[in-house]
Amino acid sequence: MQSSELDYKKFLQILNRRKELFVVLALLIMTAVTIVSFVLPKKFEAKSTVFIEKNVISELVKGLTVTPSMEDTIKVLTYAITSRTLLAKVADSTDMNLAAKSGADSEELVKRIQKNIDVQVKDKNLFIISYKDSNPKIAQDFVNTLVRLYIEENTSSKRGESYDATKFLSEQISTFKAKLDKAQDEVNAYKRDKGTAISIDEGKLYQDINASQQKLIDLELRRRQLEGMRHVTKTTSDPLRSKLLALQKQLHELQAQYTDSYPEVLTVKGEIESIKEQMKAAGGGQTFDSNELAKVDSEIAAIRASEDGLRRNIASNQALLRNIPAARAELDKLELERNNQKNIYDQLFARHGQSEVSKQMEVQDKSTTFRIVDPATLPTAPISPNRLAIMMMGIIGGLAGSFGILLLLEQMDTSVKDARSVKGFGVPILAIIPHMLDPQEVALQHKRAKRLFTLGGVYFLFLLCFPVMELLGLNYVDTMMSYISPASIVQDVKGHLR
Amino acid sequence: MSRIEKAMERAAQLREGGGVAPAPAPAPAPAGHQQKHVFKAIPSQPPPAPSVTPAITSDNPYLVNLNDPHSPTAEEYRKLKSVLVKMTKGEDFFKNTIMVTSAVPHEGKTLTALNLAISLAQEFDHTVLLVDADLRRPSVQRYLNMNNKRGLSDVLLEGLDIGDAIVATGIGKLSLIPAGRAVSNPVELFTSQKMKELIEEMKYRYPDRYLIFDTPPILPFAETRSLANLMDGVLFVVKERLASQENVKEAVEALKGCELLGLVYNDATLDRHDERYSYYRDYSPKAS
Repeated sequence: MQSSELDYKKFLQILNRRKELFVVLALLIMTAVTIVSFVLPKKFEAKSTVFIEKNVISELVKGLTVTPSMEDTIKVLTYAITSRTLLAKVADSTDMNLAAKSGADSEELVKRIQKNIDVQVKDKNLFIISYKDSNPKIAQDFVNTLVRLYIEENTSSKRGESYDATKFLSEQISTFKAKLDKAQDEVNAYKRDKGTAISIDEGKLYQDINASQQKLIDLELRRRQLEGMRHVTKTTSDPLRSKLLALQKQLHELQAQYTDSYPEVLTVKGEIESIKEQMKAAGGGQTFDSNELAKVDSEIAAIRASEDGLRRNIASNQALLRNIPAARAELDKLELERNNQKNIYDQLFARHGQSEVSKQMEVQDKSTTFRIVDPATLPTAPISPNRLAIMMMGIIGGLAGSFGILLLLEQMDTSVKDARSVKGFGVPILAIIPHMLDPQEVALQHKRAKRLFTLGGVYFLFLLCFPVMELLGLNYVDTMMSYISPASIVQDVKGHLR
Repeated sequence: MSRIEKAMERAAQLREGGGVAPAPAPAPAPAGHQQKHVFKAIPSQPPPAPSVTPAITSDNPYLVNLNDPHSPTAEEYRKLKSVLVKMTKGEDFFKNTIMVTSAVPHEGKTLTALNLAISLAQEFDHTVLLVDADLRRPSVQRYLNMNNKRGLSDVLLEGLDIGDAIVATGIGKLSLIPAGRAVSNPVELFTSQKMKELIEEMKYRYPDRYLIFDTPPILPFAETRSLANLMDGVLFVVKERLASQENVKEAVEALKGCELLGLVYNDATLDRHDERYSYYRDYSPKAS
C-alpha cells in the first residue's frame, strides 16, 4: 500500500517535472494519429440481405415430395458462398481479375476476397452478405453479383439433383420390372409343371388312399369267398364222373376179356347205366354247376382286375403324397422371390411418383426460394477506418504514450536521483540542500508554461475539431485531400518538369 | 539615479565622519558600477574592518544565508557549517583550506561555497576568505553583484600582493579574492610551483581564517585535481539529476588521496509534506 502510494507520487513528480515535454509529446502523437486516420485507405462495405423462403406448396406437399431441408441449405450456405469456384466466377463477371495475370495472382485475389466477405445468419433464414472494398461501386457490384450467381447456381443444382433422382428411379424401376416379370414367369411355369402336386388336397388324398385300401380289402374278401365257393362246386361233380370214368375203365377192361354177356360185364354195364342214370338225374344239376363255376371264375377275374387297379391307384397316390412338401417349398421360394421384387418395385414406383412431383416443383421454383430482401446499395460512407475511434484512441494514446516516453526517459536517466544513491560511494553526506526557488525565475517559468499550455490547449481544441467534424459527418478534409491527392501532385510535378 | 547618488554621498560622509558608522548600510540595492567604487576604497583599510564597510546587498535569492536566513535551506547550510567546523577545527589542529568542487559543471559549487562562507562569516568566531579559483568561469562576483578586475590570476601572474587582491564584502567577517583577469592556461597556472607557494603563504598569513576555494569541476578539467592535493579538505557537491552515478563515482575516485570531507547533496526534491520543513517555516519569524 505504501509502495503504491509512493509510486503514484513518483509518477506525479515525473509528470510535474516534465509537464511541458509531456504536453508537446502528447500533442505530437495525437496529431500523428489524426493524420494517419485521414491517410488510411478507406473501405466501403456493401450489404445484401437474402431471405430463404419456405414456400406454401412445400408445406402442402410435405411427405409427398422430397425437398432439401432448410437446415442443410443454411449450413452449407456460408461455405458455398465463399467457395473458390463461385468467387472466381464472380470475380470474372465483375472484371475484378483483370489485373491478375497468373494463377498465383488470381489465387491471391480469391484469398483477399474471402477475407473481405462476411456472411451472417439472422433468425435462421435471413442472411446478410457483406463485402468490403476500397471502391464503393465495386463493393456493391460484387455483393449483388455474388448473391445472384449463388442463387442461380443453387437453383440449377437443386433442379439437376431432382432430375438426376427421377432419372435414377426410372432406371431402377425398369430393371426391377424385368426382374419381377422373370420371377413371375418362373412361378407360373412351376405351377404349371407341378400343378397336381400343388393343387391336390393332402387330406383328401389320404382319404382316397384309405378308401381304396378299404375297397381292396373288401374285394379280396369277396374273391376269397368266390374261390371257396368254386372249390365246393368242383368237388360235388367230381365223384360221379370219376366213378363213371372208373366204371367205364373197368368195363373196357372187362369187355376185352369177356363177352358182353358176361355177368360181370352186365353188372358193370348196369352200374354204368345206373350211374349214367344217376348222372342224368343229377345231369340237370351237373350242367347248372358248370355254369355257376364259369360265372364265379369270371367274377373272380373281374375282382382281381379291380384289385390290381386299386393297388396301383394307392401306390400312385402315396407317391404323390410324398412329393407334396418339396413341391410346396419350391413354390414358396419362388413366390417369395417374386414378392420381394414386387415390393421393391412398388416402392420404387411410389418414389418415382414423388420425385416426379419434386422435379416439377423445382422446375417451377415452388420449393424453398431465395428472395433478395435488400439488394446492396452504393455505400456512401466508409466503414473503415473508423476515424472517430482512431482519433479518440489517438487522444488517449497520446496521453498514455507521452507518459510512457516520460517514464522511459526517466528510466534511461542514470543521473543521481536520490540522496540514498550517493551513499554507496563511501563518502559521508554532510548536508542535503533542498531545491531553491527563485521567485523571479519561477514566475518566468510559470509564464512560459502558461503560454505553452495555452498554445497546447488551443491546438488540442483544433485537433478536437476533426473528430467533431467526423461525428457530424462533414468531410471537408476528404474533399481537401482529394484535391491534393498524390496522383495529382505527381502530375503537377511532371507538368512542371516539361 | 538621484537616489543612488544621494546614497553614495551619504556613504562618503559617513566614512569621512570618523569611521564609527553603524553597520547596516541604508543604501537600497546599488548598481554594480557604483559598488565597484565603494569597494575600491577598501583595500587601503585593514581587512578585518567589516563594520566599517557597507554590506553587500545582493538580492540573489539563492544566497539564502544572506537574504533569507530563516529559510530551511539556510538552516541546512548552517548544519553543513557546524559539521564542517567540527571536522576541521580541533584543539591542536585547524584545517583551514577547504575546496568546493563537483563532478560536472552547474552542480552548484559556487553557491555552496558562498552560502557556506556567508554562514561561517556570520558567526562571531570565524573569519572567512573566499577564493574564486574557477578561472574558467568565475562567478562569485556575479552572485555578489561585484565587478573587481584584479584577483587571483593577477597575484599568480604579476606578483600582486595577496593583501591587495582581497576584497571585504561587508557580510560578517567575509572577504573575497576574485578570480581576476581571464587567462588562457589555468592548468599550467594551478600546477605551477607558484600556486603551491601562494597557498602556503595564504595559509600562514591568515592562519585563523577559513580559506574556501571555489574550483572548476573535476571531470572536464585537470587543474582541480592538482589543487585538491594542496588542500586540507575537499567538499564534493552533487546535484540531483545532473551528473550520472558513473560521473560521481569517477570524480570521487579522482579525488583519492585527498582529504575528502564529504558530500553536499544539492537541489534535492523534497516531499512538500515533510514535517521537518514545515516546522521551520511555521516557527520562522519571517513566516508571518
